Amino acid sequence: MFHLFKREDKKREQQEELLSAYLDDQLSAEEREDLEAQLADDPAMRIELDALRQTVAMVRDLPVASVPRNLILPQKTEARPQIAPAAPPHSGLPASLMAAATAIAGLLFVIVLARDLLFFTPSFSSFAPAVEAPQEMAISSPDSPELEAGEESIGTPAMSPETAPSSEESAPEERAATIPTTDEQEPANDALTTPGYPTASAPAFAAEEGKEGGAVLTPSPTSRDVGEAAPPPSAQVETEAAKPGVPEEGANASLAWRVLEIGLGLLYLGLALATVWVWRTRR
Amino acid sequence: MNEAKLIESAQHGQVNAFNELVLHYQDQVYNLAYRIMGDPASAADAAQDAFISAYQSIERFRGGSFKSYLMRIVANKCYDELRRRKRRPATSFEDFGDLDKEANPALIDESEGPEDRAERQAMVRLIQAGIETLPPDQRVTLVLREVQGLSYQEIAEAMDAALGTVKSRLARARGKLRDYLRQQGELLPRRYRLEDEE
Repeated sequence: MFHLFKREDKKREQQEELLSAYLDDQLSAEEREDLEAQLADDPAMRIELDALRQTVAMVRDLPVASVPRNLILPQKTEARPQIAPAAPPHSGLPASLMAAATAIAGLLFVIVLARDLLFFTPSFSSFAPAVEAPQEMAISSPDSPELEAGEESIGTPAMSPETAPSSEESAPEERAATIPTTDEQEPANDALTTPGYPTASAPAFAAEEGKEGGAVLTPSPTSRDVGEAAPPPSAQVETEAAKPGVPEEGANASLAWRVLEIGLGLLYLGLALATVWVWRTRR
Repeated sequence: MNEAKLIESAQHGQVNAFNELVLHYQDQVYNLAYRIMGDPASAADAAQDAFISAYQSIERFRGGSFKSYLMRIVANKCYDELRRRKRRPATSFEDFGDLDKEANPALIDESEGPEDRAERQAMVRLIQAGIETLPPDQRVTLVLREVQGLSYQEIAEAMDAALGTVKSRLARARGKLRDYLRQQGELLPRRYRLEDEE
């Protein structure tokens, strides 16, 4: 029903447009012939046309209104400034300054990106085994009563001169992956059992170096009982990693760098686009 | 009047030369504004603004019809003003009539007899009231066509619209005005009423 009304309205509009154009002689010869044929057959359409013609005549017949007062301009009327108009809205911001800002932003972005790639990527990979080795995760869970009970026994006795790790590397992950080579002994701790911070190398140690007799690294009750667990890769690593909150700090720092990267990237992009726009509008 | 020379002088900043053009065209400009705006005060303001704008941008005038140039400016002024007022209630028919008689005595033709004059004034007021019921775009198109006699092409240029749009707006404006006059037919003198019977 609604569509019918709509169709009727549309048809009426089209007819009105044709009649209006017909009055102004704006139809093509073909349209004119068609319309005149319709008018001959349709008395209602002829009435509409006559009413339209009469309306137009009445509007055209309106008297000319005379201006009630003179509209001459005062002598001091100023023409629009003739020289100044070319100044673009951004004229106060030189294009060279924009280009310099863009270059600086780009450089900072590259530096931040490079630093992140060099120093932060490994820390992410260190989280990967947490997924890959659920067994170790389960073992190192603080909820595990065996672990809590075993923590004390893990720390002190396990470090033998033979199993003492190298302390040269700075990145904990790298150090963790290094086979112990020095005799330096430091008190071991339960670093690798810290919740949520298992290292990528932990399973490897358990597998590869368990033969060497270290009982520290793998905190499973089995390994402790047997006394054949793999030795820790580095006591120092364990010390650093054992601090609660270090993983969160690392993650926070990494997130901050990511945010910084994105921010600088967006700034660089925005400045680059603005510079292009400034240069183009200056021409 | 050497229009080209006056325009050239005005382009060099001579207000007096431009004022000669104002005196020549002010009635036409005002009449257009009056038919669009519907009241003398607004029409005079729009016409005055249009002349100021025309003077300030006359250096960009590159020949052609100066009248069309003026009409385009005043039509746009009125159009902008109408759109600005869109939410305000329209002037009532009675108010318009008072203003018409008081402030626009030019609408009164002294050669007509009192009865004819009264009938004619009634017709003029009714048509003007009908024009004021139209949306701004249709109103300006109708007045440019019927009052100023511009061609479709000139209207399209003045309103910066496509030719098809002008045709459509004009047809709608005429149709709405016709319907309005039919509805208000009893207010019109018999000789001005739209006949529905052949």
